[in-house]
Parts: sequence; C-alpha cells; structure tokens
Amino acid sequence: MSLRLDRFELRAFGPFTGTVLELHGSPGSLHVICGPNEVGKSTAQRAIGDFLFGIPPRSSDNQLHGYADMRLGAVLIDGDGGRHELIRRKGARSTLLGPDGQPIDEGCLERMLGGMSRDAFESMFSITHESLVIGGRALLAAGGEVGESLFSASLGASGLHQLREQLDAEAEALFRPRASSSLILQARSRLEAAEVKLRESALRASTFVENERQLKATSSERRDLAERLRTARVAQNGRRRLRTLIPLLVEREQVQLELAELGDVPALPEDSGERRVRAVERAANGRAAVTETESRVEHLSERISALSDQDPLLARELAIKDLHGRIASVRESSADLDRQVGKLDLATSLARHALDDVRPDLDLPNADMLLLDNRRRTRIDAALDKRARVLAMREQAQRAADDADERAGELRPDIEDRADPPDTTALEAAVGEALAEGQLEQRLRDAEEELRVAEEQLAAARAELHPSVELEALREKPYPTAAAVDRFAAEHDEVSERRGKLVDRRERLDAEQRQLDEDRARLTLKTDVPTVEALTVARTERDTEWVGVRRRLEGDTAAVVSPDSFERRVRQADELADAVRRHADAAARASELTVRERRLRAEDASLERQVESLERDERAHEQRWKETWAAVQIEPRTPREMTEWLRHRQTVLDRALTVNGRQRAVSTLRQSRDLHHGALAQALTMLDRPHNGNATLRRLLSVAQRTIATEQTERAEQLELRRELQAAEAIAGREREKARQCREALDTWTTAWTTLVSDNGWPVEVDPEDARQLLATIDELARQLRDMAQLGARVSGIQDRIQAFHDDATALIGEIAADLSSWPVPDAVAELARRLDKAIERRSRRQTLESELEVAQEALQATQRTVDQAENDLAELMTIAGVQTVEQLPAIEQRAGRQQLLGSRLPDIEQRISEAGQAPLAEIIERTAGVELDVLDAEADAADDELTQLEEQLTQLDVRLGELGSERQAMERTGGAAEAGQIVEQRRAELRELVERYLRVQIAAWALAEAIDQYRRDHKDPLLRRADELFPQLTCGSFKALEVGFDVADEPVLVGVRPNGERVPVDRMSTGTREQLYLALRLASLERHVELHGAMPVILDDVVLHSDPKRKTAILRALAELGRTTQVIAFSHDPQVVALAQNALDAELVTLHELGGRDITNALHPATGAADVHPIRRHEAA
Amino acid sequence: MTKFLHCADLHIDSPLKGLAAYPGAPVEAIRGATRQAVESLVELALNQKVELVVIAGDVFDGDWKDFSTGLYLRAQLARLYEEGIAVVLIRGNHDAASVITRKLKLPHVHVLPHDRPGSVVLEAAGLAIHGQSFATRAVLDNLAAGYPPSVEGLTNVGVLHTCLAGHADHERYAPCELDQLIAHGYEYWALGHVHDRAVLHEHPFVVFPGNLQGRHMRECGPKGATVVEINDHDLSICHHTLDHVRFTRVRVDAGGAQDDVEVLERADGALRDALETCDGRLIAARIELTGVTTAYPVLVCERERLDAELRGLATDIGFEQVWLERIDWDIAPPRSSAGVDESLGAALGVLRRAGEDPKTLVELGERLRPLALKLPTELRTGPDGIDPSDPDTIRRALANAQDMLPGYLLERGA
Repeated sequence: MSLRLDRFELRAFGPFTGTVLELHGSPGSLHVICGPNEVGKSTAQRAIGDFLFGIPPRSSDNQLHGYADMRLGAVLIDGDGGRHELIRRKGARSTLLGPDGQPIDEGCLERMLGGMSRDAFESMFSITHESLVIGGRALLAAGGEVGESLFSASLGASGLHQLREQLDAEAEALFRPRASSSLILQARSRLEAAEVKLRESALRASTFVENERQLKATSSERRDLAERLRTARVAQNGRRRLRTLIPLLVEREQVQLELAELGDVPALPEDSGERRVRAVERAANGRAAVTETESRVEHLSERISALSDQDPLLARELAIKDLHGRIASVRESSADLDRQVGKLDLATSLARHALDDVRPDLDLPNADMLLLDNRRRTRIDAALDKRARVLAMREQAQRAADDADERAGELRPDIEDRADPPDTTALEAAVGEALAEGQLEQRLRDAEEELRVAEEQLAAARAELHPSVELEALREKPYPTAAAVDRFAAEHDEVSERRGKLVDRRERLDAEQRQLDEDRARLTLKTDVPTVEALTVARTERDTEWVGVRRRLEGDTAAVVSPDSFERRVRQADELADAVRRHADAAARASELTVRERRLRAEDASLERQVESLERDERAHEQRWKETWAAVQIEPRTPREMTEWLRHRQTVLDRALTVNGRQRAVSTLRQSRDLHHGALAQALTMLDRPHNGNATLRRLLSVAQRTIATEQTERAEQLELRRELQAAEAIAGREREKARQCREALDTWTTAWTTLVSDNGWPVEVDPEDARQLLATIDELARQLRDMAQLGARVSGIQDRIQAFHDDATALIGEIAADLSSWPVPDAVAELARRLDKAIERRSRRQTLESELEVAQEALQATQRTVDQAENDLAELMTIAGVQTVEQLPAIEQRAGRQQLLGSRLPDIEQRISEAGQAPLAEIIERTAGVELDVLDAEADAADDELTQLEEQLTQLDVRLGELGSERQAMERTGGAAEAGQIVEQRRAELRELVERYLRVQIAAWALAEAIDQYRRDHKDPLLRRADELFPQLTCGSFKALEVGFDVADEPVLVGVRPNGERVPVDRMSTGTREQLYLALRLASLERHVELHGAMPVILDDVVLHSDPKRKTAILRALAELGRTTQVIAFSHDPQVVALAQNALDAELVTLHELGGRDITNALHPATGAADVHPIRRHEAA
Repeated sequence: MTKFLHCADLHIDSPLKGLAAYPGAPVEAIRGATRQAVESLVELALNQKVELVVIAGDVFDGDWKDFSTGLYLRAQLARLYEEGIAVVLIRGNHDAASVITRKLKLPHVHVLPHDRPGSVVLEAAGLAIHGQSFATRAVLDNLAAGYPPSVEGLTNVGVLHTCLAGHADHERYAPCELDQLIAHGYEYWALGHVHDRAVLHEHPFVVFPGNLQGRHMRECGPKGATVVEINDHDLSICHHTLDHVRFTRVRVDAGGAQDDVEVLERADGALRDALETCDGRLIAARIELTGVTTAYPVLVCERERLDAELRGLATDIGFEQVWLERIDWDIAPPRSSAGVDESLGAALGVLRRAGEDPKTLVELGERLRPLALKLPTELRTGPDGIDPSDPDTIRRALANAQDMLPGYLLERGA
C-alpha cells in the first residue's frame, strides 16, 4: 500500500474546468493550497476523495458540468515508483479510465489504497480544524488515558470515548444484576407475570371431571325429587277435589227440598212477565203517538201548497251554466292574444335578419328554398368532420416522427460508446461449480473447527489416561481384554472383601478382648465377694448352735446354750446367704469371663491362620496381575482403575479415529476449495478482471458473481438500447408515412368539397371554415320560420273562441231575459247565473217538504199497528194463566219462575259434582259419606307445606344445575390459556431480543477496551516517543515533554511537562494545548502508519485556523516534517499561512499553490513587498 | 369415488414462538392460529365431503395442560360426526405425554389402541384403517412391524407416528424403513411426527402431510393436510394449505444500495412479494439483510432505528398482514477496512482471537454469567435457546461484532 499524487486535475468538477494542481515532490512533500473563501477549496478536497473512491451517485458537484461530463484526473506514484495516469468519470461501473479514455480495472488503484474504504481514508488521513477541536475534547473526556488517546488519534476516531460511554450506558440500561429497572430484568418480570397468568388460565382436567361428576349427580338427584313432587301433587289434587264436592252435595239437597214445597204451577212462558210489562207499555205509548203524528201531517200539507214549481230559467239551466263557465276562459284568452301577437312579431323580425345574412334579396315566404334536407346536411357535416380529423392526424404523426428521430439521435452515440461485453461463459461455469459445492469455506471452517474440537477432545482424553502411553502403542500393543481385567477385578474384590472381613473380625476380637479385660478389672475391684465355702461354714456353726438349743428345749439342761450366740450365728448365716445371693451374678460373670477368654484365644489363632492364607492369596494375585501387564510394559494400578484405563484407552482410540476422519474431511475440503479457487482465478484472469490471489473463495466467488452480473447487466443494457434504437427508427418511419398519407387525403377531400358546394348552389370558393358559419345561420332561419308558423296558428284560434262566446250569450239573453239585452255580454251572463241560483233554491225547498209529509204518513200507520199487537199479546197471556184481568198475572208469573229456576239448577249441580269427583254421582255420594271437612283441611295444609319444601328443593337443584352448566359452557368456550401461552412466547422473544442486544453491546465494549489496551501495549513507546518530540514543538516550548503519569485509579494517563518541571494533566491544559496534543498524537500515528504500511496523502483543512502566528509556524514545520515521509496537502484560506511558510520553511520542503489566481504574497506583504518573500516555489493552479 | 383426509401434528393451542411484540404488531391476528387451522381442516373435510378423517398423532402439545384445548377439539370433531364423517386417530408422542389425553373422552372417534395394533373397517367406504397409538412419550420399537396384513378387497390405510429412519429435527420414535412400509401391502401410509410435508413414495403412497400450522421459523412454508381420492382402488392425492399464519424468510439484498432509504424501499418490495406468494395470509417474516453496500456504516450504527423502521414498514404494508419476527444482519462495506490500520486491526484481531481462544471464551462467559443466572432456563436451552455464558453463543456474538465494529468506529466513533 503506497500512493502519492504527482498531479491532480479538476478537469470538469464543481466550479472547476481544466484546473491542474502539480503536486511533485518525492517521497512526499508539503503542499499548501491557498485560496479565498468560496473559491472551491472544499470542492477540491472532496474531489481527491471522489477520484480515489468514485464519485457518489448523488453528487452535488454537477452545478457546472452534467453527471455524464464530470471528470477528474491524476498522475499517481505507487510504492515502487510506478506512474499511473488515471481519469475518473461519474457512473455506475467502469468509471476509472486510462489516459486514452478507455475503462481500466480498478485493481491497481485498490492495491495502492491497500483495500481501504473511503470512510477509513477520511477518518485516518483527513485532518480538519473541526476534527482537532473534537479530538481535544475527546482527550479531555478520556482524561488523557494513554490507550484510548493513542487509539483514538490513530484511527482519527475522535468520538471514541463517547462511543465507549454510549456502549457502557446502553449495556447498563439493558442489564444490571441488582437493578430491577434494567430492561432485561423488566422483561423477565413481564415474562414471569405472563407465565403466572398462563398457569392461572389453564383449565385443569380434574376441574372439568369434577364438574362432570357434579352435573351427573345433581341431575340424578333432581330426577328423584321431581318424581316425589309429582306423587305429592297427585295426592293433594285428590284432597282438593274432595274439598270442592262437599258444598255441591249440600246445595243439591236444598234445591230438591224447595221444589217439593212449590208443588203444581201453570206452565207460563219463561218471558211471560217481561212480555206483559212490554205489552202494557207499548199500548199506552202507541195511542199517544197516533194523535201527535196526525197533527204534523196536516201542517206539512199546508206549507207545500204555498210553493210554486213553474220557472223559465230552470228550463235553460244547462245553457246558462255553460256560458257562465266560459267567462273566465274568454277573459284569459283576450289577455293571451296580446302576448302571442308580440311573439309572432319578434319571430318575424329574427327570421328577416337571418335571411338578410344569407339572401337579402329573398322574401320571407320564399325563404324555404334555402333550407337543407337531412341528407344534404349530413353530407356537408361529414365532409367537414373528415377534414378536421385528417388535419389532426397529420399533425400528430409529424410530432411523433420528430420525437422518434430525436430519441434515436440520443441513443446512437450511447450505443457506439459502449464496448462489447466479454464472454463470461467460463466464469459462469466456474461459479456454478463452486456454488454447487455449497458454502465450501464455511464447511471447511466448520470442518477445521470440528477437527480442532476433536483434537482437543483427543488431547483431553489422553490427558486423562494414567498411566500415559503413546498413541501408537495404544493402538498396537496387546493389552489385556476387558473380560480378563474384569476377572482380576472380581478376584481383587473378593480378596479385598476377605481382607475386609478379617479386619472386621480382628477389630471385633480386639474389642471383645478389651471388653473382657474391662469386665475382669471391674470384677476384681469387688473384694468383698463372699464365697460359698464361708456360707457353708456359717451354716454349720448355726446348725451346731441349733442342735444345742433344740436339746435344751427338749429338756437337756446340759446342753450349752447361748441364745445370743445362736442368734448371732443365725444372723451371720443369713447375712452370708444374702450376700452370696447378692453376688451370685458376679460369680457367674467371673466364670463366664473365663469361658470367653478361652474362646477368644481360639478365635484369635484361627484368625491368624486365615490372615496368613489371605496374604498368600494376595501375593499370588498381585504376581499374576503384574505378569498380565508385563507384556505391554505397564505398571498396572488396581484392576478397577485399569478397567477405567481401558475404557479411557478406547475413548482415546475412538477420538483418534474421529480426528483422522476429520483430518481427511478437512484435506478433501481444502483440495476442493483450492480447485474452485484456481478455476475462478483462472476464469477471472481470462476476462482480465483483477483479483486478489490471496482472497478467500467466497470473496473470489463474490467478485466473479459481481463480474458476471455486471457483464450481464451491460449486455442486457446494450441489447435494450439497440432494441430501443430500432424501435425509435421504426416509429419515425411509420409516422412520416402516416403524415404523407394524411396530406394525400386532404388533396382528395378538397376535390370532393368543391363538388358538394356547387351541388348546394353555394359559391365554389366557399371556404370550409366559413361553411360552418353559413350552416349555423341557415339553421337559425329555419328555427325562426317554424316559430312564426306556430304563433300564427295560435293567434287565430284565440280570436275564434272569443267570438263564439259572444254569439251564444246574445241569443240566450234574447230568449229568456230581454231586460238584460242592453247589459255588456259578460255582465248579463253573470246576472242570468245569479237568477238561476235563486230558482234552483226554491225548487229544492219544496222537494224537502214533500219528503217529510210522506214519512209522517207512514209513521202514523205503523204506530196504529203497534197498539193493536200489544193488546193481542195481553189477551193471550191471561188465557194461559187462567185469569180475568191483567193485574192477576204477576203472582202466577213469580211461582212459575221459581219452579223453573230450581228445575234447571239441579242437573247443573249434579253435573258439576260428577265432573269434580271424576266418578258417577252415586259413587261419589257413597264415597263422601262420613268425610269430615276439618280433617280434610288439616291434611291438605300439611301436604301444602310438604309441596312447598319440595318445590324449593327442586328450584335449588335447578339453580345448581344452571350454575354447573354455565361452568361447563365456560370451560368449553375458554381459550384464555392459549392466549396467555402466546403472550408468554411473545415475552420470551422480547427478552431474547434484549439479551442479544446486550451481548452485542457488551462484546463490542469489551472488544474496544481490549483493543485499546493492546494497541497501547504495542504502540505506546514509538508513538509517545514521537509525540514527545512533536508536542513541545507544536506548543512552541510551553511544554518541554510529554510523559506518562498515573491517575487516581492508577491508570496510565498523558501528562505534559512544563520547562520548570511542572506536570500538567490533560484536564488542566488549555483547549488550544489539548488540540496541539491531539495533533501531535495524530501526526505521530500517521508517521507510524507510513513507516509500517507505506505513504498515503494526508489532507488537512485549515488546521492552523485559530492558532497564533508562532504556533502556526510550528504546525507548518511539523507538517513539513511529515511531508518528508508522505505527501501532505494542506488547504487554507488564510494568506498568513503562505507568508509563514515562506519565511519559516526550507524551500525544498514546501510548495505553494493558489486557487482563484489571486496574488497572495503581495496581498500579505503590502509594506514589505515581494522583496521579503522567501524564494519559495510557487505554482498557480493552471 | 371415496375421499379421506389425512392430517397430523395439530399441536392445538401451541403458541407461535419467537414473535416479540412491537407497536403495530398484529397481536390479535395471530391469536388462536392453531385453532383456526383446525377449523379450516374441519371446513375442508365438510366441503370435500370426505368419508373419513385420519389424524396421525400429536393432536396436543405434550406439556400443555389447559383442558379446554381438549374440549375444543371435541367440539370440532363433533361437527364431523354430525355430518357423518368418521374420525380415526392415533396418539403420538406428545399425546402420550399430555395430561389432557388421559382425561379427555372422545365419543364417536376411533382412537386406535396403544398396547397392540388396531383396525377400523369402514365397509361402506371400502376402507380398512390400521394403526397403533403411542403408549409412552418415547416409543423406540418398530411399531409398523406388528401392523396386521391388508384386508383383501378394501383400500388399506396404515396410520403411523414415526420418524422413519430418522430426522434431524425430530426424536427417533417408532423407527422403521421406507422399504418396509412399501412392502407391507397397504395402499396408503398416513404418517405423522415429521412436520415437513413429504410424499416419500407413490403406489403405495407414503405421505407426511406436515403439521397444520407452522409455529416458528424452523417451520417455514405452507402447512396443511392431504386429501386422498380413491377411484376403483386407484389413489390420487392433493395437498391443501390450511395455515393461518405463514412463517417465511424474506431475503433483502442491500447490495449496491446508496442509503438506508433505498434499503427500506427494497425491503418494502421484498415483503410485498412475500405477502403475495402467501395468498394474502398473515406472514411472520424474518428479514435476511445481505449484500455489500456503501450505506453499511449508517445501517450498522443506526441498527435499532432501522429495526424499528422495518417494523413500521411491515405495519404500513397492510393491516395485520405482516409480523416481523426478526432481522438478520449480514451486510458488509464495499471494501474491507480491516488491516489498514493498527487500531481497527487490533479491535478485529481481539474479536477473532477471542473466538478461537477457549480461555477468553471462558472469561467472557464469566463476565456474562450474571446475566445467564437471571435468565429462565427455557430461554437458555432448546434449539432456539440463548445462553450468554455458553461459548458457542459468545463465539457467534464475537463473529457478529467483527461485522459490526468497523461501522461503529468509522461512523459513530469518528
């Protein structure tokens, strides 16, 4: 990686056209490019980046030159001193051109850039005043921490500390073990809450089964209860029926008694009483009405005779009404007549005007000859329409042809500019084959990883193999079989078991022996133990004494007797006996101890023999065991351990096999990868596509795929362009032909039009545009002539109607009302109508009176008939009752009525009894005999209570059943747990996302910290050494050195040292000094980078902006120093910089360039003039 | 003509996994997805007028305890019974482990026995169905070996919950060989257990219909059941898609994109295409963002914003149409910045070496252990588990950081 700009050309870019910067100087040099504000310094800086990395698609530097014309050029010197003359154009591909303007591969430029991205270049090799300010702040933020400061300055990443703080803050917000407010713990709480909800929502099977059981049991209980209730209701209904029968039976008995008392009565009709009263009343009323009606008939007859029925007006009633009805119409017609006449005049006037426009010589009555019939009119319209269409088509075709020509003109140069894309078949085949292998490198990495894991596992397995044996020996030596080792293990176990038992037995015997010794010691301590012999002696002495006593008692006085002595002997013997008895256990124990001692000795001897036998067996076993392993030269451990060893050995062998397999797989994959890598590289080389021979297969594949895609796209675009050109040319031809046809059609039309016009009698020269106007005027004339005809007819009709009314009215008045003949006709007709109304009113009144008389006469006859009928009725009733007068009738009627009532009630009562008792009457009478009402009522009351209770119970069961049913339905409907389960999964996924985010942030923060630390370890010394030289220089001696100190946390930090030895940490430095420190670190890093990786242009923008002249000079010197190793291009708008550079720097080290052509030197030194100017090389941008 | 419907692995009420909620996510629409798939299954059976529905195991999830799920199934099967459609069912490994199975009575359903192979003969339909349920969760015997010989004159259907000779994603239960099934003499083998649809053989047919509803990103693509049509002993099959929510991977190629806006536009197009191929049903999409782009630093540094924008985009595409499951980032800058500078190279070297150094992995594991201790076991285990202290997890995170760190440093750090 190495690059230097020997010449930079702003050929067509931003405001520049053909501007050239000569940047000679080897290996590097300081180039100061000065120019006033707005002259394009920023554009020029941007242009360097655009040249190296491509002009962005949405570049804003096209204000003067269109995208297609934008060009930058440069002569680059690579690390080997090779010159490369290159041109950059704007575009999507093939934007790097050679001096001949032909596209060339970007590989040469990429190699010079070392694969660096634009972001990295701008971050590392661009220093602006703003980046210094931010860098100074970053130093302050980091507290001058050495690692971070160096790292930050190296990368130009002045926001590093902020980035680290952001990462830490984000990590802390996500998770702190004891902070329940951290996002992850909150998410976990939400997950736990969701899980609780899920558990609570789940319907347990036992709950459902219990519900089912209760439902079944309750249903059964309800069935039983319902049956009991039904039975009780039947019994209660029986009681209620009986209770209703008893009053009916009593009533029946009373009716029978009363009927017997009434005896025989005449059989009068049921309504005889009513008939009698009505007849008496009708007769009296009828007679009064006859008298009144006769008087009314007489009065009506008199009033009718006073009204005459003869009048002449009534004879012509219809004629008068007709005339009267026409008066209003006649008045309206008179008024309308004036309006219609006005309209007629207007229509006539308009028609005259229209005719004057067409033929002023013609009278209106003859104007009809100008009107056109439909056929002629249609032909003229069609001819005019056709002409309009042809004209429009001609214009459209002409326009389309012009457009197509223009498009074809645009396309041709574009097609000609494009070279034929190369054949990518071989590359496609290589890509296809490589892709068919799948993710080969990933598989290889996986296989290598698997191999590494397998090797680690093998190593781990071998590490567990004790004693350790070489792998080869493990494979080949004849190790004992597992079965043989198992046998040894069994034997070993058996021997061990035997030894264990013997040890146990030895311990037991030793314990028993110790116990025996203790028992014996305890027994020995008891010194006062009486012996049996002492007891025998005492008893003998007692008995001897007793013999003496007995002899004395039997009368032998010679016997020596001492009661006291005897008593003492007795007591001694007793005490001894007691003592012997008391110590009998001890005696037995002593005897037993003796026996135990003998047994222990015997057992001890036996045990010793067994131990000897066991040791012999053990030695033999050990011997055989070692012999077994001797062949494989292993000092064996216990059989159990060796069993484990054999198992480990097998594991080692298995893992070794696995390692072998994995090695083969890795080898195969590597071969395959190399094969495809070679094929792809070869195919790319054939296509003259630059590629990195060391690139990964994936990278190469990606390059190949991009190449194929690029070429395919290019091919497709070319094809598309050619198709488009052909289409455009075809369209142009077609449209031109269409325009020509239109012109021919217009010629034909003109001939036809001439004929048509002459046919209609119009002048041949009538212009088609005027013909439309002529037609409109004729249409207007026709419309006015039609209006005139209609209005004339309407006016004559109105006049006829008015005249007819006058004639009819005059004739009628003369006939029936000569006194009105002098009146105006309408008034006379109105008077006639009024007189007719009065005559009609008189006729109507007479007709009403005649109707009333007829009604009165009919009423008189009807009333007389009613009187007669009532008197006949009374006579008939008296005959049936056998009485002479009407006054005797009521008593007979009363007795007959009662008998009839009772007679009808009796069967009704009996019917009700039978129905209520649901049995024949006789049976009911028999059944109810002797029933007591009070008892029955008491039973019914008790049954009511029982029924109430049963019903309540039934209601409760129904409620319970309803509840259980609802519970069941709820169980069947619920899906709450499923929803809760879904929420649990959502919460889990949320938590997972946060954990992934935390991992991302934590790993990034950790990697940064590690990288900074490592960078500090690797680069601290050379960088600080150089920065230590630069810092005093840049601060003009305010500081004499830059050292490493330690802060309160014992972290290494940067410290500036004053000339008086005062040590100043970063946070106590001034802002400007901190910026100088940052610049010192940046320059040191850049020098280091150049030293390690090669030269690269460093671009600076006004880095001396706010420094005083002294410091500006110092900075320029430092840049000139850097310029000894790599190219430094410093842009500045500050004319003072030029002067300072001229005065302070060696002419060989700096080159001055001017943008904008202003003479900066003279502008700067108005007082001193050019004579003060250092003989420095100056260039104006050409 | 006779028709029957073959389905398996209903896993009713099994939740859809991996879907973290975000504003605008169609939370309501995904609820009850497995139930809706079951209802679609019943509708299909009714519409197709099938004689029989065969369920080849795993009706429930093994660890699901909500009994209402069983009641729901019973109600759905009752709809089939009312229309005269027979149901033959075997219990799979999940059913054997389910508490619901033990307590749930399924009237009118032929549940084949677990202690021996059983048969159901539907004379009118000309079908003989043979099968055996799982007695326990892990049945390692070759159950098919004991299935009865075919019944002459009828179309014989073998119902079996099996992994066949083995499957990477499924337990090795009731193993058997494909050749064994082919040679058994049945006309159709209705298999269950493997969630991917597969027609392993024709004449006789050996068919995995797959599960009814995908439940996570490892169950992508259409899910449903198979309708089998029999015409005079000649069988033909037709698969019907019944899933309600479709898990799908959407590849968004950010290659050559100039900025984040263009990436979002491409994602919009890709999501719309995906939606179209899924017949308008709701999709649970995982965006796989790939390609080499100059917008890389911006995209990396504003990843959270881009994630949110992509989710907003998914919401805007259609009401309750898309749930963005996650976004996998696999983008790269046009040129690698690695190696051009010591500082950046150091950072990447740290990450690379850490992934290869067991000691560093252990140290990082210890650093992350406090988090691991706070996480529930279910989150740390299983195929989709994430254990922050696990070396593999850390290795993946380190590889991811290698992709992202240059962007962080050059964009956010600069």
